[in-house]
Amino acid sequence: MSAPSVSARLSRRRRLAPTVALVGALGSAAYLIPAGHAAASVDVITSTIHGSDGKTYWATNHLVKAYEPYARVSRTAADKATANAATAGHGHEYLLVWAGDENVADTKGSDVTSLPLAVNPVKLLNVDAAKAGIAPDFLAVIDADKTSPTYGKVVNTVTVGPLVENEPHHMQYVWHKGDKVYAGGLFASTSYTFDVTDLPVVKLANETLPTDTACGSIPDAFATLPDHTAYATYMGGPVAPGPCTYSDGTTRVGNGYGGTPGALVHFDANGKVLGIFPTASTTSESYTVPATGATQPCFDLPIVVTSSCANPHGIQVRPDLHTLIASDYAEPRDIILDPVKPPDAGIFRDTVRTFDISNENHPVLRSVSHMPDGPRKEQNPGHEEPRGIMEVSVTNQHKHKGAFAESMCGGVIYYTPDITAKHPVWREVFDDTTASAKVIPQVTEGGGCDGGGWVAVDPTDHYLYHTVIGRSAGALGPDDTGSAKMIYALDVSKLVAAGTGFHCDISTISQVYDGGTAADCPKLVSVLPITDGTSGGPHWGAPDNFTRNADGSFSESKTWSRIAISDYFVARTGVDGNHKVCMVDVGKKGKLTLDTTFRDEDEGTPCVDFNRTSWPHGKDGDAKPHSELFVVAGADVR
Amino acid sequence: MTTLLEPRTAAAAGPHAGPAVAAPRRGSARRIATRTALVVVVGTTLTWAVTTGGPDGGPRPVGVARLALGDVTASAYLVPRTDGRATLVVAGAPQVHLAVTVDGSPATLSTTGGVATTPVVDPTSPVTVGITTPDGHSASARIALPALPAAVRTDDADAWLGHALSGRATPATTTATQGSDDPELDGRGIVAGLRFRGVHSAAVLLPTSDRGTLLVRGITTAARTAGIRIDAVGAATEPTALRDDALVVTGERADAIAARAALAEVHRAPLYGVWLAPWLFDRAVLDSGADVPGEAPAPVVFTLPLDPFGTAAQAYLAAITKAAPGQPATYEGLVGWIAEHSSLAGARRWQLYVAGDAAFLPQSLDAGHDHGGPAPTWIGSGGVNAASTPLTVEDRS
Repeated sequence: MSAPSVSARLSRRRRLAPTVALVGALGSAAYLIPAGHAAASVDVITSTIHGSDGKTYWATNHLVKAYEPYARVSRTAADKATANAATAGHGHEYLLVWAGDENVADTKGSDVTSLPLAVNPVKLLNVDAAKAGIAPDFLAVIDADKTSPTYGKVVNTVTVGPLVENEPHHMQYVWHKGDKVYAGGLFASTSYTFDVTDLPVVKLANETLPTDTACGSIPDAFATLPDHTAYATYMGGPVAPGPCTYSDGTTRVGNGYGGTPGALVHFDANGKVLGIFPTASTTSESYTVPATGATQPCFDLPIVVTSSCANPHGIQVRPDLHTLIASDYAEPRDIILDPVKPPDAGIFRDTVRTFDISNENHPVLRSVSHMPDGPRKEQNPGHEEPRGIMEVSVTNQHKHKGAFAESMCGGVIYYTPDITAKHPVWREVFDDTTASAKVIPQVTEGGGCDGGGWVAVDPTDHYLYHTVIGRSAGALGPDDTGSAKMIYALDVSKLVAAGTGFHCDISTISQVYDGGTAADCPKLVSVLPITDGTSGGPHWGAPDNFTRNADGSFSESKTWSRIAISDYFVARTGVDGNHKVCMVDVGKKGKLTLDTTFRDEDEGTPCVDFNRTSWPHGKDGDAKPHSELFVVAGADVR
Repeated sequence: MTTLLEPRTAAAAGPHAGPAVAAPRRGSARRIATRTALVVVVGTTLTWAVTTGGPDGGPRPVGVARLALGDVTASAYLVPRTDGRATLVVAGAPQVHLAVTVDGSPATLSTTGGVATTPVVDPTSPVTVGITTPDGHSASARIALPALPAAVRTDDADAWLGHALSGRATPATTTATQGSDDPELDGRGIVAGLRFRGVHSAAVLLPTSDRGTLLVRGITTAARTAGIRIDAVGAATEPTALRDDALVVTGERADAIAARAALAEVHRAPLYGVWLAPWLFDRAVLDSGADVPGEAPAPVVFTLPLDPFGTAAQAYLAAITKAAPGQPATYEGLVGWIAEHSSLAGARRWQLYVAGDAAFLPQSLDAGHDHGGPAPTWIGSGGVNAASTPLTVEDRS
């Protein structure tokens, strides 16, 4: 990928009349974009790069001129057609939301046929929005400054092209000064790197294509390092089936795109691929379950020569411990199989991997740990506790070496006190059922495939926060109570302080509902239910890791005062969401409350709704917000 | 190649297809005459075409009417939907803004690239579609969903639709030129891909069509030069097929779908996957087997001479999504589109592509979900991705 040649062009147009926007890649098939945002005009700034395939890729800002803080941007600078529309010194914090355009393929039949009766004097809604058609994915820049009059307003949307409908997924977990923003797209296995130095203007710094990461597919999550490089998990196998040789010279045989084994990709500070590395062992990763003596295979479809569970999803780094940790979720291509009669529950991975990153550009697999089974006996083996280890979170204090892992299908949280160990010891320390019961006291199968997602330990290592999509009532059958859609907080301070001598172990059935009985078990301190009538729920979250200084600048905070959460998963998997991004205040002792002042600019109600007719970039209709990140313009951070 | 379209006169087409041509409005004729020096208003009707996407993935009828108004032409299609209704599509020259009526009433249009789509209409009875130019000239024709003639090859119809979507083609005259334009060269392209991946041996599933035979000829000739062993096999799960590095399917849709299903059933696949003829690059094949409980479709690889992400492909995908909701994109459709806008030879750029089904949750989290909606992409759940830089393909010399 060549260095970015930022050809910033700036044009202003008032969307007072239908405007024909020629999307470059579409040649003669111009999109007709009808009248846009009624009240706002936008400035358009585009940056481009040349991809490794020789094609041009772009990111186009659509800055709403009427909104603070962009209204303060120097018009002189803008008129010079420079992308550097600096807002330095204004001291402003933004929430970046990586969102995909919703199209007709995301709409299920039951969405239309099962609509409940409601007062609806208008037959059709948003009839002029191009909800079903092709439209670009985008990074939404939302004013996240509570003191701003435009708090919660979308001040810019940065559309990317020419790839469209690429299912935007994750960015890094936390943004630090000097970092680029790394963002992945699932369907085209593309990773975008954005330069956010001049927020609210965003520039495209790089874009990697599948041919740049031939040994891995489906970029999932990113973790940055102090030197501003980043690792990414590529959950799926090599782009083409067969042997693939990695940057370290080793070879693994994979069963192809979306298969097994996945890979680790190391990006430089501008998003260029430094190397791609194996996550799979050189030998079979099947293992013997201690309690039963049965062999638990890593089930790959089609069968991989050397059985592997390596489908890394969550990723966290402890540079001070020279350790990277990643959790395997599932062989993505094959989990669309009938969950009631899965060919093997092993499709949902139960493994967590640690890597030695003493040489950052040569991560070496150190351990592969199978999470232990818990006390629940599920009818569906895919709902057992260790199934689908989607996310991990490291502790942060140097004196602590522990990490947590959570299972999306198992609905529990595991903990190990030392990720530097050659054979880390993992135990179940919390079942989501305990939290779900606070919302639905009669809950049954509270953790079984409840959709646990984002998990994070705060910088003090005192609290753990976890989002859970939940399960709609009736999803498993008429007798299914469903499980809570929520974000909850645990006090994990005693557990972390206990070190390798910790006692917590959810090993008896009573602890599923009641919580752990050992003194060092996590304590549930807060549950915030999220109202959502869709198939989805809150999947992702991002902490506000900044605090404002007296002079208007920002510094990184040692505590978190709020968390942004997004209610969307991946529509085409059958799990969608209400497409809202909400702000959650974090009070003393981890208490979670909805920030009702973070409101949608069109509806006037809490949370920013990505189901809307009009965006700064046009009337493209509903969008799917998968992940978010608090970011401050570079010059505004100390 | 089978003739796909049988343009018939109104009289021959029966009671539902007769043209009803309106005369130009007085006064307006003078303006158009000074502009074009041609004041001829003609309405003709083509009675049927077929395309894929019908019940069980088979062919389904599409009503077609062609309207000509001086130098302004438009094609109208009545495209059936999976919900039993139909969408009326009017494709005209992009620079012309046409007012469209359905049964005499103005139609609300969603317009892009010269293609106008009406809301759904009742397909059980014929409708009269009319167009009116900004000058006030109008023409109309009746259109209906006809019965499907027998022995029509659906991929040829896809190519026809690719032509027709451009708004420029006269379907009746372009149909016979469609299909893969050079199957033997396609075979050489596949060998270039096999060589790029380091494949030493490939099993070739015997062809079931003339173009498949030409493809195999290209494969065997080029493989000999490349030093790749080729074994002919009759079934995807023959020991030879599983032992060789790759399996090449040279037949038609049904052959590819059957091969994927057979491999999925045994949870096996050749080391380098299943390689498919370019004309098998469509949703019917790519999505096949994805919903079979307990089985996973074998990964598929293509060496395509046309860029499925290029300018032309994006335009084609956008057009077919807008103009024919529910109509899957096909390689043949792309061929037709490119042939209409430029030249196939000029567009040729060989590259390796893979298709990946990707999903991330079991469906138990959502009761009753179906993904039956049309997608503006090549594949339903997942994507298609380049897996190589452009390949060099040896010519026949």
